[in-house]
Amino acid sequence: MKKLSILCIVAAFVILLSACVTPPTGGTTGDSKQTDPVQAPAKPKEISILAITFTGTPIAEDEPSVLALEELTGYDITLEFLLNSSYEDQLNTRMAAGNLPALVAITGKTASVISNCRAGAFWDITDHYKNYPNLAKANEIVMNNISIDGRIYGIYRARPLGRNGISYRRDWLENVGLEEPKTMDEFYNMLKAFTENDPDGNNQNDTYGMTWCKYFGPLDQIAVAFGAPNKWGVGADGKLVPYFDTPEFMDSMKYMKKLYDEGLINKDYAALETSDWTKDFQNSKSGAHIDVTDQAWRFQKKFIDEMQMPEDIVWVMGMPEGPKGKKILPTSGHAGFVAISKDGAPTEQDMKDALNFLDICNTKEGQNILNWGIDGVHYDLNEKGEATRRTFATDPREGFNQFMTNVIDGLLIQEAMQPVQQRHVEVQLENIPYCVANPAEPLTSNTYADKGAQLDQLITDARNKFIAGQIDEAGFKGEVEKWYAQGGQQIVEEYTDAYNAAK
Amino acid sequence: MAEMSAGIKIKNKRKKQGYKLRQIKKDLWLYILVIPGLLHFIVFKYLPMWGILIAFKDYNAYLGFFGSPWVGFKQFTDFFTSPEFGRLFVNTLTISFYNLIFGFPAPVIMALMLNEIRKQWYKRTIQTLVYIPHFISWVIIASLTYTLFNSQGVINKYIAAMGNEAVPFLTSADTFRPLIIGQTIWKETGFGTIIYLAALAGIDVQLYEAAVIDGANRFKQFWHITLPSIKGTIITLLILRMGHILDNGFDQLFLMSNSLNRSVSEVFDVYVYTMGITRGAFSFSTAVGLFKSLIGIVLIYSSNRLAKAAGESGIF
Repeated sequence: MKKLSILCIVAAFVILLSACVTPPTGGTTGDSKQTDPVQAPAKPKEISILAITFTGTPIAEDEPSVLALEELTGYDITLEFLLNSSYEDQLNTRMAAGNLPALVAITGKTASVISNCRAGAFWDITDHYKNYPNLAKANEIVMNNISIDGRIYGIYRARPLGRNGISYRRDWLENVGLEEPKTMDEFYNMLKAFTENDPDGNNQNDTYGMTWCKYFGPLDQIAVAFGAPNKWGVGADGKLVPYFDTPEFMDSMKYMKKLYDEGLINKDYAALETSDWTKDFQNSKSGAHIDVTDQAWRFQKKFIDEMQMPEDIVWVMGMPEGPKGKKILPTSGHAGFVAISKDGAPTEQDMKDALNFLDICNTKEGQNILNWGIDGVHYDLNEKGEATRRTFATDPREGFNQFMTNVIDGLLIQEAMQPVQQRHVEVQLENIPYCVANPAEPLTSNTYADKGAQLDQLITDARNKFIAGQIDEAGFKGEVEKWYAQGGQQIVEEYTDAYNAAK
Repeated sequence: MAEMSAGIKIKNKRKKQGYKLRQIKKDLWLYILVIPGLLHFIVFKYLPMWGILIAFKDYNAYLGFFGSPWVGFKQFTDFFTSPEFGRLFVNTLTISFYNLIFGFPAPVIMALMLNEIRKQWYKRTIQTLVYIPHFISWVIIASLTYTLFNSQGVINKYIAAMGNEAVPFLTSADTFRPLIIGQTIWKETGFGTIIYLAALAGIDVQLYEAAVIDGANRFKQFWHITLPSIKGTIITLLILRMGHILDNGFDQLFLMSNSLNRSVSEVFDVYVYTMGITRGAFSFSTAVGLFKSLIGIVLIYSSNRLAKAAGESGIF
């Protein structure tokens, strides 16, 4: 008896210790694959992918879409996901631990991404990607935008340029007797009426104009609408100027301060997590939402599906015209890129295999499997060949489109669209001629890579403080001076040099 | 004679060794039970210590530990000359100082008050109730605080009903510290009473009986018997606390900070996280963490010395 218990304890230790030293294996292996004798080439190539999940319950590996993609590409796919809210944090830890999969979704050119690309953690594919028929059709400008020191480390995750806009409650606007705002002043009137004129008609003072959160998207869109540059402007002397050091930016800040002071936006926005951003709009407490145009349909769908509210109460528009004419903050045309790591793809052949995989994903079939799934399982086609997504309690394909690159337009099946969706597509097209480009987008500044995050925070804090009334215009100028003194001056010079060199 | 005594000594020594072995054999199970604890310390505390070396390197995850170049004290000079250093230092110390002034005596006072309760069932119920907050995670506490104190929250509704202006509790530098100290006291006071209550239970009842016969009232008993009896415990806990003076508790501050209170909420713990994990500056944040630990060690040693000089036993 005693011997047995000693044995047990020893065994427990051995298991414990071995658990400590065994490197974690990347998810499950392709068991499902082996049960599929039809599609069994001698030895299927393998590809492992790290992508983003927004809900924490991402797509399973035996989901029909994954199997379909495996069949299409001939690769055995292993998927791993990290939560969006801490994606960068966890990506950094994964890089440090040295066990990245072959394909890694990168959300942007952050300091650590730049330094890892320079150190060689990811394959430089500048000279390779054009050998693949579909990848070769990728947009040169966007490719240039994701480059680091002029080299390309991945295939961009495409996003429509004119994607930004305002979702609003059309029924509220009718109730307060206003028209869709054409100018920023009219937009202010709309927010004011949403706050004070009881737009939901319940005789209670329980609504307000617009919800903001910790994320600065709405503030940036308003700043650009007022004529401030998109991150960097080119000054009269040919030097680059940061957006916050312009008089137009100050005008936009004063406008936003007015919104804040009059309670047209939520006063706690600086403490509101991004994940709670849409709550007030969805609960009919606020009536406008500055984000991406496709958000309008997400709101409307939830109103219909979960709250039994009427159709077409949410509508969408582009940013109204500011004092300097209509100006729109574009997206970068990408949401980061999908990179090929040397951890997961150690040899050049592995890298080529990974590129080949991405190339197949950009065929018509590949794009549609990634974006839509499977006909009759995830969507249905109508007589016009337009697709309608089926509704699921939890999206079984969640996260699957996060390594979708879609570098070629026009291959996706058209969606059978509701009016608000048609409008959102129109708005995206209407936006394009008014988009303000960021001249520093493809440029790299070493000082920015090094200190940029702290310096950015200095400015975002100062913006919040100004809007909340903790500092005045002189105080804000003081913070801008601090920005220049703490490294901003070098950033300006480095970007200016890089900009002139690239011209 | 001399030879003989030497022989005896050797024999004694052997005997002693045999004795030790026998002792170990006797308590074999206890020794086996110690192994997981020891392993924990070796694997999770001692082995990772070599990682400190990256504070003197320019560590890049891809190049790895051996591939990254040595940079000497660059990370430290960068940190000490950075504009954040002064602010971080002041913020960290201020919060710790307030926690010490308001947070440290709270469990002592509560334990003493509980000690005075004579109805056992009442005392035990209260004791159990005040432990509960300790087991609630900071995430929950931060959301509770958010719900209660935001501009539409209960507290502000009450303030508004009284006819006053709403107070931006969550987004103001002035209210940040009281909020933080309040949270800490609410969460940890009850649990902190355990050790003091144990110390109080150890006081000899005869002392009180003698004092009553000498005519001491409740307050005199408290002042001359209760307090001196738990003085050692208080000082030991104070010394241990000193070592953590630069730790503010990462979770709490990380969850409660935002850009409008950053001027007072940014402390070493949060800074190490944002620099190291979010921004991937592993070497830099290791240097900051190392600096923090060094200060902690110095403080523990010096307060221990002080306690000994004042005639207390100290902790080592």
